[in-house]
Amino acid sequence: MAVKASNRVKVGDTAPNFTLPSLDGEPVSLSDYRGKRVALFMWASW
Amino acid sequence: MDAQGAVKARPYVELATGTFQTVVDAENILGGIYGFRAIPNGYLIDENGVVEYEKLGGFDIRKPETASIINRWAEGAGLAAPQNPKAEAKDGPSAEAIALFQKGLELYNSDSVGEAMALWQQGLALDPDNYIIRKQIWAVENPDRFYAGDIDYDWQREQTAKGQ
Repeated sequence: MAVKASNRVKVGDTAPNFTLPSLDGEPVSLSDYRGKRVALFMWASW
Repeated sequence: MDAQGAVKARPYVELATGTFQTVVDAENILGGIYGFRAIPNGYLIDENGVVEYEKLGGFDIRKPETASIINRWAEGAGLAAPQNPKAEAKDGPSAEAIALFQKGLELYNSDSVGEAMALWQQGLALDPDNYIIRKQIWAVENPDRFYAGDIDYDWQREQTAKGQ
């Protein structure tokens, strides 16, 4: 069975937009920061 | 990137210095659209939304080398691509595995833990290197290793070595 792989973002790609809740539940989008440089980190408590 | 959500994330954010926006991705949405199987990751994005640097795995802002990369980037220096051949060689994670993870999370949140675990195991079988799914299974099976005190990375390495 072929497993469909999701796309992997690489240097030179446009960073995919997303909207996720802040710690207080307010929606935040990456596109809110267009025109600014953004350092995006993914981390977890584990 | 934690299925436990904002309640779990908040204390870490409050300990950190500086100001930054934190968002909560309890369902691994970003794993699907950015295509990663493990964290911590980093992406440095320019004014036009183009990725200038990406590092999968080991991008931990507590490490001096990570801080140094960000500082150089912030000062406008060019950045060399990270030496990360293992991650570079791979495609993105299985989309089906992520869908199973997300469906399992819904079940888990409605207290159907057994059914949730079955879907997560199916997802992990499709994508054995997906550590977001793997750690979710570990955390439910071994809450004392995850949710009490410091994170027990030695235990996690032992599990990986045992093929758990």
